[in-house]
Order: sequence, then C-alpha cells, then structure tokens
Amino acid sequence: ARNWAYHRGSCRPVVLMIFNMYVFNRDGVCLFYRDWHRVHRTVESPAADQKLMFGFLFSLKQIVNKLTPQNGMPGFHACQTNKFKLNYYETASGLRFVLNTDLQAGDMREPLRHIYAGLYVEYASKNSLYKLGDPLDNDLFVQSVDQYIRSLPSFGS
Amino acid sequence: YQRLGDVAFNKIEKVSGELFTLMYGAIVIQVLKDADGDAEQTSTQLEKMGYNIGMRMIDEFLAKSNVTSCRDFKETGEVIAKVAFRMFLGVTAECHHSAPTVSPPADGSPQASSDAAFRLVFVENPLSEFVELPEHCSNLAFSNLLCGVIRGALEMVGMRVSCRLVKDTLWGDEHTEISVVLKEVIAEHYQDDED
Repeated sequence: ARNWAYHRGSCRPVVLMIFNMYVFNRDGVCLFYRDWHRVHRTVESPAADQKLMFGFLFSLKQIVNKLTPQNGMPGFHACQTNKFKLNYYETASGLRFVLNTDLQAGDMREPLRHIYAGLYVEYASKNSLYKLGDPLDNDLFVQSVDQYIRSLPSFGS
Repeated sequence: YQRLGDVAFNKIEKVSGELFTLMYGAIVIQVLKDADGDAEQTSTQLEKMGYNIGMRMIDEFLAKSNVTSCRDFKETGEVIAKVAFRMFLGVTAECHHSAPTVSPPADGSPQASSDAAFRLVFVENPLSEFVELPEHCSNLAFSNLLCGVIRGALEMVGMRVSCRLVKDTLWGDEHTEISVVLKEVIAEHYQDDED
C-alpha cells in the first residue's frame, strides 16, 4: 500500500518508481550504471547510452550557465519530461550522479548527496584498492547502493 | 569558516595524535631509506604520495565540510586554512595573501591571474611533532606530503597549482609555511571522439 500514490485529481493509482542511476567522473567516464525499472532501452549499446547521457548533461550545464537570468552559478539539479524526472548532483570534484525517477518521486537531492557522501566516499575514495576513474564495481559499493535505493520510499516494488 | 572548520572537526572520526605522528615519521624514514638517504628525492616522493592522497581526500572534504564554491583563489586559501586543516589535522592555519585578488568575471567562473597565490602559515604541525632533522638530511622537506595533498585536491576541483614548503620549524624557522601559487584554471572540456 505504501508504494502507491494517487495522481492529483484522478483516481488512477501511480506506482512510485526509481528507474536507473549513472555515475560519471569529470572526464565523462561512466563509473557506474544500474537500472531497476528501465523498460525502454536505446537500440545501441550501454556505452552509447552512457555517452549520450554525459553529452546531454554537459551541454545542458553549459546552456543553463549561459541562459540563467540571475548572477552566480545556477547549479541545475533536475529536469523533467511528462514521463520521468532526471535528478542530478554534481560535486566540485566533477563527479556526476544521475537518478532517473518517475514524476512523483520527489526531491532526490538528499539521496544523491548520501550516495556521494555516505557510499562513494566510504567505499571508493577511501578504498585503496579502487583506482580513481575505474568502474565502481566493488561489491560493497554496488550492494549498498542497491540496498539504499530499494529502501527509499520512492522505490516501487 | 572557523565555525565550519570546528563543526567538521567535531563530526569526523579521530585517531590519536601521537599515533598519527609516529606513523608519518615511520613513512618518512621508509621513503628516505628507499631513496638511499637522498633528502631531495625523499621530499619529491613525499609530495607525490600526498598528491595521490589529495585526489581522494577532496571528496571526503567536500562531502563532510559542506563548503560551497569559492568565489576566488583567496577564498580557496581561507577554506584550506580554516576548514580543511582543522578537519584533517586538527589545527588551524592562517592564510596570508601576497598578490592582489582578481575579481571574478560575470559568468562566475574563477579567473587565473599570473600571480594569484596565498601562503598557509601554521605553528603547530602534527606531522612533525617530536621530530628533529639530523644533519645529513637537514634540507628534507619533512611535511612535503601536505604540499602534495593540497596540489592533488585542488587539481580535482579545477585548479592547477604549485605548492612548496617555504619555511619549516624543523629548519629553525619560527613557523611552518606553505606557498600555493595558481598556475592554471582547468577549463571543463569534453572530447567527442566520434565524428
């Protein structure tokens, strides 16, 4: 019952969902990709998909910086279509965390920050066996991310 | 920034100061031995080790200190002195600026000036407590690891700097001083390798 939410106005039940997640470093290397509920996949390889995502984020950031109506760095953190919301967290060190959710999932900034501060820093930065820029495939990191995402109220079953 | 530094210091897990000092001393001795007693080579090696540490440490720093972007290089120096030093070494440094600050351009990105620099000055140094340099390596930059850490960390946030141990209490100076000079602001770029 807690996985269901009612869309404003209609009685149609909507399942809250987190679709997938990417982690990129500042050179555009996709360090981590995981999906939970992705149904539509691009025809090409995961590598092409990741490259597309990074290119999109990079361009979007440049454009947002130029178009922002106020002074100062805008720092975009989300954008959405009528089907999904792309949540974004970029660190000063150039790490980019992307979480695609459905429209009801809410503000993902805190979960993204936790994935960085609580999981990446602990299981990657502090892991002497992990070389910066390598794929994040160590068990601890992968499993704790999975566990954490599944524990979020926005995650449908 | 002092307050941010104290908050970060209180939150982070700590180890015994003496243990830290002893471990660092043991590392320096080992590197010195590997370099056959060559102090200069040891200094360089310590800086390189620091560089690798700094590249990782920056993420822990960003994650735990909650600092926001610095507007200019001067602020970077303040953050290192008041927050980073406090968080990782438990001491606070002073940040002295020797060059005029450059006002940032309208789009908010930091601009490199050919002489943007600051000096980190501190008296207490947990790395070198109880340490005396023997005569045959009196020119050893004992705390050069710190220079490397600063260089590695700043490079990960887009600044190429040169970092040098200028004064050291182990050399008879009244305080320890690290000079940090901004060489280049690394612009973000993305190479699209397909046409």
